[in-house]
Amino acid sequence: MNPHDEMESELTPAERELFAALPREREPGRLLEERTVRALRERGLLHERTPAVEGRRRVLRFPAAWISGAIAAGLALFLGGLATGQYLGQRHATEMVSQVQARDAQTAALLVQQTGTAYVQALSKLTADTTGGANRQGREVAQQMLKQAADEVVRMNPNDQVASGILAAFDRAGANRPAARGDTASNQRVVWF
Amino acid sequence: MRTETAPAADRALAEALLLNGDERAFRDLYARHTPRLFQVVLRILGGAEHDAEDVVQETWIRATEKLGGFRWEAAFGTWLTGIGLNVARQLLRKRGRWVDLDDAPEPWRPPPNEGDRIDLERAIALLPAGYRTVLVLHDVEGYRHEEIGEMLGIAPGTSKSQLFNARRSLRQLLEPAKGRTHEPA
Repeated sequence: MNPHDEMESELTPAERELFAALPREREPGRLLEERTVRALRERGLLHERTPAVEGRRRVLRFPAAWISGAIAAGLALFLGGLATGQYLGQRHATEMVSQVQARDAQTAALLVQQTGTAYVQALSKLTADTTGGANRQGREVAQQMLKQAADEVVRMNPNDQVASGILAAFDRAGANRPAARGDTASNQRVVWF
Repeated sequence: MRTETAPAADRALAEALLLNGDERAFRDLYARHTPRLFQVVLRILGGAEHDAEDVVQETWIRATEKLGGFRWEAAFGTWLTGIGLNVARQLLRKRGRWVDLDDAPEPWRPPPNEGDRIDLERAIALLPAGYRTVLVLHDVEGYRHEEIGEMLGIAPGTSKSQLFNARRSLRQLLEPAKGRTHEPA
């Protein structure tokens, strides 16, 4: 290469401009980085990142609109849950009241049965007792209780013929034995105590 | 024309990669240097993208393996480009498209061009691999003949003559009317 050639070989300003305009960088395919990392790992030149390190590095960032939407959705879910809960709770309470009421009625009937049984058993004991005073007193108390029970039954059902008949019998007996009423009253005081 | 990334940052990343096999450090280094490396390799290979990707991958593997021996007397990017250049040359040689520059036969003459003017990128891609490599390194990347000589294992004078022939061929390619009638080199 002689000096003349060298001169001829120099780039002209226009050529320099053309070269300067050429891009100096270019991104390769996106998979190349992963491919290279995998190849380096396979050769033991890279250590895979541990999940703990990965976890520390990963910071999730959400746009404000996304966060607002999430809050609104959460609020709607909460209110919906609250309304449903209230509805179910109310329905449950109604059921509970009716159950309690039904249970109260059953309990009352059971109580009547138990006390009635006790009443009859007590009368049986009185029958077995040969002492005259206790027998008489017991019989009067028993009659008084029977009359009050008949009163309650008639109050429950005014058309109850059995209870009405008992009360009518008491009325008739009371008319025939006026003195007995005062005795009964005194005994009743004892009984109520 | 060459712009180098911050050497201190490159060195810190390279040390993290070398000492700990730190993947994050490697990815950072990769992001800093790959776009430039890929462009250089792509030009030297005449625009074959898949080949260029293979060369870039192999370059990073070799660079990571040799990282312990790098003395930091040159910029990391220059060292990496040198490795990429060797890998690219091996590929071209395997395909019979690389002739040792010291043993280069007669200057190459562009084929007759009946078409329109072509752009610079296309003209560079049409040059023989040896011309193209020296031209890209000198006129595009801004390396000096001494540096090119070291990278390619040739004398600086060889680099100069290769560049002379490359530029002349390039001009012929860019001006097809003249190219058809030019004197043989």
